Amino acid sequence: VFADARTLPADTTLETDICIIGGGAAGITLAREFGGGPTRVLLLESGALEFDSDTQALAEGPVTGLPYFPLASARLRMFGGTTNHWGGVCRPFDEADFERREWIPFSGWPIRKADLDPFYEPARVITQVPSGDWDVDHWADRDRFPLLPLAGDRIQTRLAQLVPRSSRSFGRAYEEEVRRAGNVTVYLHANATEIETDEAGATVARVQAATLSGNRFSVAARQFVLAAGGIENPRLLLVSNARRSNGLGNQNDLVGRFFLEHPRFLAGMIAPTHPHLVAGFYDQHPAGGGEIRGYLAPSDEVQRAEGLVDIQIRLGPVYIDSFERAIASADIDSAQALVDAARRGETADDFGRHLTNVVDDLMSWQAFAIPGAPVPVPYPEVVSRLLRSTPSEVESLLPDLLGDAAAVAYREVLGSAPLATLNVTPRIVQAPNPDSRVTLTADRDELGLRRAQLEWRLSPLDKHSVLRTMEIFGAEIGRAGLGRLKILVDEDDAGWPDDLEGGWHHMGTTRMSDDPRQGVVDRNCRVHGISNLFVAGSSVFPTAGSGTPTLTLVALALRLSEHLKGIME
Amino acid sequence: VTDQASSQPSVAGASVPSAADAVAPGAASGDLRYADVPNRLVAYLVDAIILAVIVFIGALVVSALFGPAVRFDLTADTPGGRIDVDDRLAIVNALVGTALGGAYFVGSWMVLRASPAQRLFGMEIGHERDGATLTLGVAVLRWILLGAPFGIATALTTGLAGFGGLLLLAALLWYLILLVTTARSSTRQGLHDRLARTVVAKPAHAAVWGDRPRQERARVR
Repeated sequence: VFADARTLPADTTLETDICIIGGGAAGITLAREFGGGPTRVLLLESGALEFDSDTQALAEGPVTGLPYFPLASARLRMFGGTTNHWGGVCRPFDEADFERREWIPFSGWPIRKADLDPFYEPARVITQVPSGDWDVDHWADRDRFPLLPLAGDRIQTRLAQLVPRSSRSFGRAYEEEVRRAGNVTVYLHANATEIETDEAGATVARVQAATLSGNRFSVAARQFVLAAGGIENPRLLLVSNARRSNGLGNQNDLVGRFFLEHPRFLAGMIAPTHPHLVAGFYDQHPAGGGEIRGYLAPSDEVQRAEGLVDIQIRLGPVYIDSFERAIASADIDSAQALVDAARRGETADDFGRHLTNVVDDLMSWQAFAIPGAPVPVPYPEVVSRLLRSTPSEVESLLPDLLGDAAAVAYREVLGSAPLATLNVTPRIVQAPNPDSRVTLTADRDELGLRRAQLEWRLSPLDKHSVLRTMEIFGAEIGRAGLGRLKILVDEDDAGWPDDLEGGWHHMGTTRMSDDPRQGVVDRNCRVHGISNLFVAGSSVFPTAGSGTPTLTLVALALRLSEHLKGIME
Repeated sequence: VTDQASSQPSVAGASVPSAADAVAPGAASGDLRYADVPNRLVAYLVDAIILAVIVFIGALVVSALFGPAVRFDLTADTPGGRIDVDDRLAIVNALVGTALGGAYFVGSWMVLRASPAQRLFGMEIGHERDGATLTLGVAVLRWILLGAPFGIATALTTGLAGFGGLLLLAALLWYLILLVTTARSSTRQGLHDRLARTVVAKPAHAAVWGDRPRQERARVR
C-alpha cells in the first residue's frame, strides 16, 4: 500500500511492528519479505515514485578529501533508491572477502561467506541477475570471446553479470507487489529526521519524520531498520543525538568512519603485439542470453604473498582513431536510439533526425562512388589509394569510406576492430580506513537536519597494491606475448591521479563487527547497545569486497529479515 | 498502340507480334519470342559492368584533365576530414558518367539494335508497332526511363542530409517497378518500354542455351 505522508494530520503517531527507513534495494527487499504476513511493516520513503528535485536536494553535502561525485547525484531519494540509476553490475563476494587478512588493517567480517550463501541465490532472483552460474569456465565455453591466454595462475579471470537495464530499478520492479501487500505501507515524501530512544538510549521508541510541505509526524514500532544508504545511514545516527551527544551507536566514534569505495583510474596501457588481440571478454558484452563483463585479478595466493589488497583489472579497448570516431559518432548513437525505442515498442524521440543520421551514414560510400555509373564504382583516386595501402591502412580507411555503422559491424563480426591500445583500469578493493568518513556539517537542509559531509581517503597500501598488481600483470602479459604494458602509476608521487573516481558504491560507514569497539552493528546488523535498531545496506560492510555491493546487500537484507522474523515470533 | 495481330512486323528477319496480342506471357509467336525477364536482367547487369569500366576510364580522364576528385589526408584527425571529395569535380564526373551511359545505350540501341550485352544474349530491341530501329528521341526517352537521371541527382544532392538514402530508395523502387511491370506484361514490356513504345524480343534463331528445349541441350553437350 502506498500512502502520501503530506496528507497525514499534523503530529500523528503511526504505530507498526517494523519501521523501515529508506525504500532502496535493502528496504524494499526487507518489506517484501514480510509482505502478506501478519507483521505490519511501515516504510518511510523520502521521495516519491518519480524523481523530485526538491527532495533530491536533501542529499546535498560537501566533499572533502579525495575528489568525489557530488553527493546529491551519487544516490537517489525516491522509491527504488539508487537502483533507479544503477549500472546493474553484479557479482557475489568471494570467501576471501570475509576473511581477516593480517596485512590489511581492520579487515575481516564477523560472518563467513557460508553464512550468506543460502541468501545469494534468492538475492540473485530478486535482483534479476539472469544466471545463477558464476563460474568463469561456464561462461567462457559459451562466449564468442576467448579468455586471454595468460600462462600460469598468478592472474585470474573473474566475472560479473549485468542485470538487464529494464529490470534494474527495484522501484519499478516491485511497486505493484508492494501496492498489493495489505500489511506493508509505504509512506512517500516521508523523511526520517531523528531516531528517538528511551532515556537510557538502549531502545528506540519512535522515529520522527517530516515532509517538505511542513508536515511532521512520528512512527512507533517494535523494531526499526535503517536502510537509507551508506551516507544517510550514518547521517541519521549522528543527527539523532538527543540522548547521546555523539549520536546513536557512536559510543566508540565509529559511525561514519571507514567509508569504503571501489576506486578506479587509468593505471596503464597495453600496446598489443597484434592489433586484433581479442579482449572482448573483459569488456561489457552479451553472452549466454545476458550480458557479462570479465575482470583480471591477482590470485589469492599472489595477494597473500605480496601483501596486497584485491585489485580487479578492467581492459578497455582503444581502437585506432578512425574506428574510435566511428564508434563514438552521433550516427551510431542515433542507430542505438532507434533500436532501443523499437525494442520498447515505441518511436524514438527525434525520430526524423535519428533516421536521417543513420541513412546518411549508411550512404557514406556514395560520396566515393563515381556518380552516373550504373553500379557503384569507386573514384580512381580511391582505387589507387587502396592498391598502394597496406592491409592495416585499408582497414583504417574502412570507417571513412563505408561509414560508422560499417565500422561497428566490422568490429562485431570480427570480435575486434584494430586496436591502438588496451586501457588498463584497476578497480581497487580499498583497505578499510578510519579517516575515510562521513561527518556532519554545521549547515542544515530544508528540514533542519545537518548535512552529511564526505571525506574520502585512501591509504598507501591501496596505491602500492595497484602498482604491484600492474607490475605482475605486465609481466604476465609480456610472458604470454600479448603485448607490453606501460604503467602510469608513480608510487613516489604521494597523491592520486586526477582521473581517480569512485564506483558510486557507498560502504562501511556503519561497519559490522562482534566487538562494539570495532564496529557499529553486530553480525545480525543490530546496532550495538540498542536492542531494536538494525541497519540494512552496504554501510554494514566491513570491507569493500571483490564483488559489487548490490547483490551482497540484498543477501544481507534477506538474512536480516530472517533474523527479524525470529524476533517477531 | 495499334492492334495489328494479323500483320506480323519484321525484326531482324523475324516477325514481331503486336504488343496487344493476347498471348500467354512470354509465349512465342511465329519464330520470335519476347525476351524473358531473367535473360534481360542478366544482360542489364553485364551492360552495367561494361559501362562501369567505361565510366571509370572516363573518371581517369577527368582526373587527368582537372585533377583528383578525391584527396586523402590520413594525418587529419577530424571526423570526415581524412578524405575530401571535390563537389565540383563530382558534378563533372556525374555529367561525364551520365553522358557515357547515354552514348553506350542510345548509341548501341540505334546502331546495333541492342545493347552489347543484349546482343550477346541474342536480344533485339525495336519499336513495338513495327519492330523498327529506335529513333534518337525514342532511344533517349527509354534511356532516361531506365534511370539515367539518378546519377546526376546523386551528385547534385551530395551533402544534403537524407537525400543520398532517399535517392537510392527511389532508384530501387523505380527498378522494382520496371522489373515487376516487365514480368507481368504478356509482351514483357516494362513501364519504360510501354512509355517509350519499345519491345525487346529474341528471334528464335538467336535463342541461347537457356532457351533450348531440354533434349536439344542434351545434344549440345
